[in-house]
Amino acid sequence: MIANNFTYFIKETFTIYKTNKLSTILSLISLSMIFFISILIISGWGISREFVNLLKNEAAISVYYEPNLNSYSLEALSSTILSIDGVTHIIDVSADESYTQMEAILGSEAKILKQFDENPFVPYLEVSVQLEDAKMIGEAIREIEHVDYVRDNQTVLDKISQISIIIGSIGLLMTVAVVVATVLITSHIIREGVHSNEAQINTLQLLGAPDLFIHLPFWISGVLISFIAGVFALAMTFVVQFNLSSGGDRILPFLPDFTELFSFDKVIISVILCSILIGATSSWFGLRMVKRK
Amino acid sequence: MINSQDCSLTYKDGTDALKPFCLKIDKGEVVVILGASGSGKTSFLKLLLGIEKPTTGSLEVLGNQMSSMSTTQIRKLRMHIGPIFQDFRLIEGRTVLDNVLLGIRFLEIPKRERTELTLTSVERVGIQHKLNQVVDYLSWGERQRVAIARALARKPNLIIADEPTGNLDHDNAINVLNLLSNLAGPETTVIITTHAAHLIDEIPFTQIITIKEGLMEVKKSDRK
Repeated sequence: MIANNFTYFIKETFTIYKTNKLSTILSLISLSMIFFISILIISGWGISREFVNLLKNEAAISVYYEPNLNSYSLEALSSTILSIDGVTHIIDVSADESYTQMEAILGSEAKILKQFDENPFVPYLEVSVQLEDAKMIGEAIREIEHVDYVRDNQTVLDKISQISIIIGSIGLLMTVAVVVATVLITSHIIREGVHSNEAQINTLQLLGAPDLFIHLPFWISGVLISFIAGVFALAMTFVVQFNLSSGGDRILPFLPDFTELFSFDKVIISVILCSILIGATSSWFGLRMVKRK
Repeated sequence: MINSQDCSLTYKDGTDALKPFCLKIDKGEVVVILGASGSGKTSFLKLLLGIEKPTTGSLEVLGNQMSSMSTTQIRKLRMHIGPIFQDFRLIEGRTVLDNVLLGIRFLEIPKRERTELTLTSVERVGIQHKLNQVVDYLSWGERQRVAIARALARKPNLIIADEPTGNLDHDNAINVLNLLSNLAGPETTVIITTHAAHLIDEIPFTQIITIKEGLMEVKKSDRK
């Protein structure tokens, strides 16, 4: 039945749009905007998660040891620290390297370092750790012999974790809000279509047409409008992404370029699949109002 | 074909539309249902189409017990019925061809045969020259013929025509009644409702059912 009437279903779908021309156009614009905003929010969420993961991977504890420690004892200390669970890597940073690092961070302000007669920095061990184990590792290192002081930046690391959770929660809430809004708008279009074609639907029911035959054009119209809105939203996202990636210098040079964290291929596939799925669900939801006779 | 035993219909608001009646209509019959407006003719047709279910008694249509049928089963039954509604129920904005085709699109008929059936039925009712005309601009009589063609194309076992002479002058009414009664065949029964008693002498009917305030009176005839 479906294959035999394929052209009819497509023709009917466009008749439904034509019957409610203004409503269709307004709904298409609304859906496109909703999809566009949701792409931005969800992508932002994805990017922030990637960013937090990057920071997590770079989480490090600075271990300052006794100044007169010989190289044999320093090696033994490094081995002890490396054996702690969650420690991924250790770099022995000399006083000179420390000075150079600070020069790089301060940039043009590095001239302040010239005020010192001697290098004010001391050597230390830069211990890379898993973020979630950082607190435990810091406590364990403090107990080791020859360790003077441990700077674990725990507060900063905790904040990063909290921000990650907050952004995730906002993203989840927005996703739910977008799905609900899309379902409501699309099902409303279907309801309007059903209402405008009530006489035709009644006639078809009295002639014995099965529900599938009656509902299919409405269902296709819901899926199609949602899909087209998804494509429009993708086009808008592409324009925004293109403008941002060709925008020149990064705002914060030490942070990674966020457009590198943004996978447009993934977004295209996700938006197309989601728009079709949401359109199909919303149409089904809207068609539940058709009384069976 | 149609068999009823003490079947009655009372609407939800308590209106007694049809008082208990017994009826037997066989294949190939032409049955006229005569009654004034509001007498219960349309209620009877609603029972046959499964729009309403009998309140009491039993009603069998094309071998199906109407009281116990689900909506899906009723739809399947309707595929074997060719209804011609009083207001025609044509799809506005569509051509004659679209309207007739729409009545058979969902039936299990191959695509090629569908077109053939449509063309044959519009020719039979004499509107083949209006095939691509939008139904909105047709005269009352032409619209009625489209409705008849739509019913006919479905190759139904039962044709139900509700007040087909309603807005027609005498000559056109006779033409339509003859056209409808000629649709009866070995596998097709025709049921026509009318309030125009003066027209029934022109129809070669096999039974006449008179309905007055929901009470049915059946008379057999050997006129066919």
